[in-house]
Amino acid sequence: MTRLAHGGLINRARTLSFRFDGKSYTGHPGDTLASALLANGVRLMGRSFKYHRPRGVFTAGSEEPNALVELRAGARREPNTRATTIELFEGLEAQSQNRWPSLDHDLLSVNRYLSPFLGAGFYYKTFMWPAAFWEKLYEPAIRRAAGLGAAAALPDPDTYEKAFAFCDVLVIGSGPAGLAAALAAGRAGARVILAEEDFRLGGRLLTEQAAIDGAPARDFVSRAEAELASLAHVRIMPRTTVFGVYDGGEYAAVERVSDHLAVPAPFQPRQRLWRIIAKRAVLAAGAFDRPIVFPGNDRPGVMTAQALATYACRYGVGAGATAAVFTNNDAGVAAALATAGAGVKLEALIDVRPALPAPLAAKAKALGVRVITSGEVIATSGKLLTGLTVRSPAGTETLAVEALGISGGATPNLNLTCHLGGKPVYREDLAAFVPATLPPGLAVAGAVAGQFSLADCLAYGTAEGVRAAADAGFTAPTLPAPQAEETATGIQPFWQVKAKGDLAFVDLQNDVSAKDVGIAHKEGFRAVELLKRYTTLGMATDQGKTSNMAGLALMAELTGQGIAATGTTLFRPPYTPVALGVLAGHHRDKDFRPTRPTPTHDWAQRQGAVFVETGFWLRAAYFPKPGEKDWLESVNREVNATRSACGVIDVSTFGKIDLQGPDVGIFLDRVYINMFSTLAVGKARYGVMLREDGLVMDDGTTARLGEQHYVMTTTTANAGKMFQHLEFCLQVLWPDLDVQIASVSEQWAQIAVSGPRSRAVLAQVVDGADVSNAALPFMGVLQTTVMGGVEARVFRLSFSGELGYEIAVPARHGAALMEALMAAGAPFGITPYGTEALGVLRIEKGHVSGSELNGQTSARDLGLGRMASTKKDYIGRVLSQRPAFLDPDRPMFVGFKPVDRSARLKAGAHLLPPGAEATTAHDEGYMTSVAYSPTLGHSIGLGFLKRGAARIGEQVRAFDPVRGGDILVEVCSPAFVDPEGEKQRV
Amino acid sequence: MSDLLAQVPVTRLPPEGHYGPAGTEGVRARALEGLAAATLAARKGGTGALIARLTAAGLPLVDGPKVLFHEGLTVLGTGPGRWLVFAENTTGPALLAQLRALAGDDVALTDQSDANLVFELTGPAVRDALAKGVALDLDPRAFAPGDVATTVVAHVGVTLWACEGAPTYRLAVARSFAPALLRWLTPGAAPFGFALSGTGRG
Repeated sequence: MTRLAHGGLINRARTLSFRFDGKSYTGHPGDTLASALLANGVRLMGRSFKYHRPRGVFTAGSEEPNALVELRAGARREPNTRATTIELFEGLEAQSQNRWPSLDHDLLSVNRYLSPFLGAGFYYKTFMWPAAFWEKLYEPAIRRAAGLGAAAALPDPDTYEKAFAFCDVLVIGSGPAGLAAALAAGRAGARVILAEEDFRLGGRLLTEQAAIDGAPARDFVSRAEAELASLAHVRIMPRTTVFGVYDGGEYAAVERVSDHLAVPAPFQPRQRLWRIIAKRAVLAAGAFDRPIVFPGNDRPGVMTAQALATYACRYGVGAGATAAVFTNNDAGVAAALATAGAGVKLEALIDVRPALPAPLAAKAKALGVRVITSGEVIATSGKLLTGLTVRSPAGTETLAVEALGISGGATPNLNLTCHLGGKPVYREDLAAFVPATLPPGLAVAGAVAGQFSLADCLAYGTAEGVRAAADAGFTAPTLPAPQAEETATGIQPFWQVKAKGDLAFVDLQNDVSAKDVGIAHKEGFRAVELLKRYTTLGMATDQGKTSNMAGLALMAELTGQGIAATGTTLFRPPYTPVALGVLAGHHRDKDFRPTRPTPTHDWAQRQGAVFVETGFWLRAAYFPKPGEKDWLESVNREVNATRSACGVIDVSTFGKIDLQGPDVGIFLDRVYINMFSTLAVGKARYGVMLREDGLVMDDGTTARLGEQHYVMTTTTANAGKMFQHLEFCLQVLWPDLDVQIASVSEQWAQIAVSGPRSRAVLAQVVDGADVSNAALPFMGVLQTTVMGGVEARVFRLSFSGELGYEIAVPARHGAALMEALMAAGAPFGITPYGTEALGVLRIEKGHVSGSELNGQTSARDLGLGRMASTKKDYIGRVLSQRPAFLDPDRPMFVGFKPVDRSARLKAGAHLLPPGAEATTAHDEGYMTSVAYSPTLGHSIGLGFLKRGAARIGEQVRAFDPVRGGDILVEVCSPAFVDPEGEKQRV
Repeated sequence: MSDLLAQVPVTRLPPEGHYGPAGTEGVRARALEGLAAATLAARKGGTGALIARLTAAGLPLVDGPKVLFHEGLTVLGTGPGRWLVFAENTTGPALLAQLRALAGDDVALTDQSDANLVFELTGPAVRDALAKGVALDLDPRAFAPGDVATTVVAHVGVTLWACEGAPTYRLAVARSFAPALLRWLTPGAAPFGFALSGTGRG
């Protein structure tokens, strides 16, 4: 056990039991998995990515490169979870990963003996030939050996949600600068959100030994948290990582609502995705301690000096029975002293500098810490760290230690400042990159800005909090900023110990060593972005938060151009990995998108309908009857019933747009290719609309209800788009037109009754209106009442080619109308039909639909060219006259019958001249829609064929290389049924 | 998808009842019955005249995202020169006639009584529940009683307005999208305790 005798922000009164790799351990509330494992003497936590070297915890935060584990089991298993951020809970279960058969004995650790061959670019150089082996052999083998944890293969049993938050000032990070900023802005009355990644506020203050306002730093944290919690307009969000910055002051954050529990509480999500819209933001994300590169710097037990101090001070854990610190800077020294002060036996403090600043030297002396100046660690030993070799002017010596804290200096955690393209700049005096251009509305304070001392963090945090609140319109009362002593921040840039021996790692997560940076340099991959891609330095879950600096410093030394000129790679969102589940939120499974039921949905369900998704809508596809062996039999019955007697279908899904005003006629003339201003009141007309480029956009009927009142129908698919199009035309193209439009798609249920007996059925549901052929002729419109006083509009239209009507009633009456029609039609054998039969009926009639209005066809292609008026201008007119559109060879709309009538046509088949080779050069068109026609007793098709209309009677090949099929078809008129259109006019 | 609604068909409104921890009621939602509705749009260039005429008739319309509550009428500004009017205890045709009498012939009136379902949401946690999908700042500093917005929630278009009294909102949603909207709201409101009424027994 290496739990220290006292100290730490853990609740020693309570014990939590947990399991790691099947073994049971205990820890305390306040522990992370990493601190609890260290407290149990478990230093081996993972195997490295490439060489499978034993690895231990390296940090105490989300920047962790090494200690990645699989958390939980079964459906809740989460791979690559950082042990350093997992809050310990009762019953926690975790497994190490990337090892076989066990963490202690990993067979792939033989890779470490191959390390001379496995350097940067190894795969590119080795698996070059034969090329055919790559896909089948090399890549699968490499993929098996590589990768980290394994994802759960079962559906995630937990829920996730999203939420929006708005504030005046968003403060990111709750260390000294963040707390000071939140206090200043909160006191000014601004709405503040304080987001903290950790489960506890305080950041470095949880480890800090210096006093604030004369009291321990942790007391300041408690006081600040209490004050912030007392302010109603301040929201404190612990366990919340702000991971992305977007335009307009929008920040994305993930709140780990239940990750610290074995399972989420009832009704609670596991995580919540926040979109925070902030007028101003203060980034106070602190800095990372970065490693020094030296041989064997990856042994379990080697960690950052700040991590060593954090485990000692915050968690009351000695990372080893004995420890040492190797540093080049004052913060590293302070971390060593804090560690020793917490009760860890510190064997030595090794500093590359010739002397420590006097105050720190005095403190070291007071604590009895041995200081080795001008010293360097040149080697380590043990599978788990057991010793160090230290070189100094006094000579070379070995130290027996189990833990080594290393600190190469502070790297500002400026990740978020890059998300909108900001490029950090290098400051020689700090040996660090600091933010330069910032996202609009975002300020930086504290260590992230290179303000490393505690006093500076508090002062700048307060100042930025005041300023952010003022920018958002809140004047801060002048309260003094919290005061602290200046903490020392001196540094002597130092990146790499020049010594031979074991591999010296730059990037622990990707097993990139100093040698690999050398290879990249030698082979010309010198720019930082190339260095990253070639060596994988800075990739994967930690994105090089700790390793990037040393990597580019080594490259800068090799090229001799200096760190500032070498520059740094830029960060993109997310700051830390984000689970896909939380990005999906509520929208999973059937809630992936809305489902819209039609007004007659429940009725259709009672009839046993099989439904099909059409956009958001759920529509009846067909209505199987007992004894029918397949869908085709049902559809054939529905088609036959409609053609011989009467069929009924809910067509409420069409878009419906109400148009009013003195200029509606002119407006419709401009949006349709054909004339509407001449349409008589009480009549409907079929119309076609083009896009500006002359291709057909949509079709439908528009009826004139009154002198200045029309109602338009659009296709189901384009309902929303057409309303937007008309709005655009009115607002942008012709703002002078006096037209008011309103969507009435949801207001009206609409049911189509088709077939020779449909008039007899209609007559029984209208309240006495005359629906005879004379009173309500083809394309006539009747405004009346049905079912005893329900307002209704009856349009005599036909998509099936039969006598037909569409009856619209207010939506709440839609189901009742369907029932009334069914009752009225029962003596005639009225038959409900679905979208399948609807398709067959229109294909038999040769009416175009979505498959033909496919964004590639003009009105002329569709055989509708003669509808286009030559007496007016309309959208798409000019470009529809382009030479290619008028080319006689252009594929035109025709019908097809298989020469062998028993053969089945396939939509998507391409049309070739008989005997011609199946090449693009011979392609003459394609089949768009096919159906089995029960009326004709064979398969029929519609499509586009080169010079189509002129080739009726010819034979062509329908060639379908995708699904197989190569048959001869006969070209015919697209109207297979009633080409003269007599049936719909009776 | 939440287990809470696993047994409810996606085409149906979640049945009335209590969702969430027993004994809590942070959010209440009620489907409002018997509302008639109509859109009212001014003719081109006629907004000023229409507002003057209606103001003289005691209905001081505002050309903006504001709500006017007046003798059983709720008038929502939904766009420049456009309003959505709800009326209690009447029918669509009767509402159209009433508005025609007030506004005269020179306006566009369209019955929308069957187009929307309207829900009233209230309770101490109503803003927290709405924040799970409404991308609007609902703090009274930014969205006070009398403010209205048309927005998109969980891929569903809604019109939302703030009413007088302890946080109370009304929300109009297209009829066919109402099940999807409540499927979003119910699991999000359940942690606070969610009492849903007016949606039938399921």
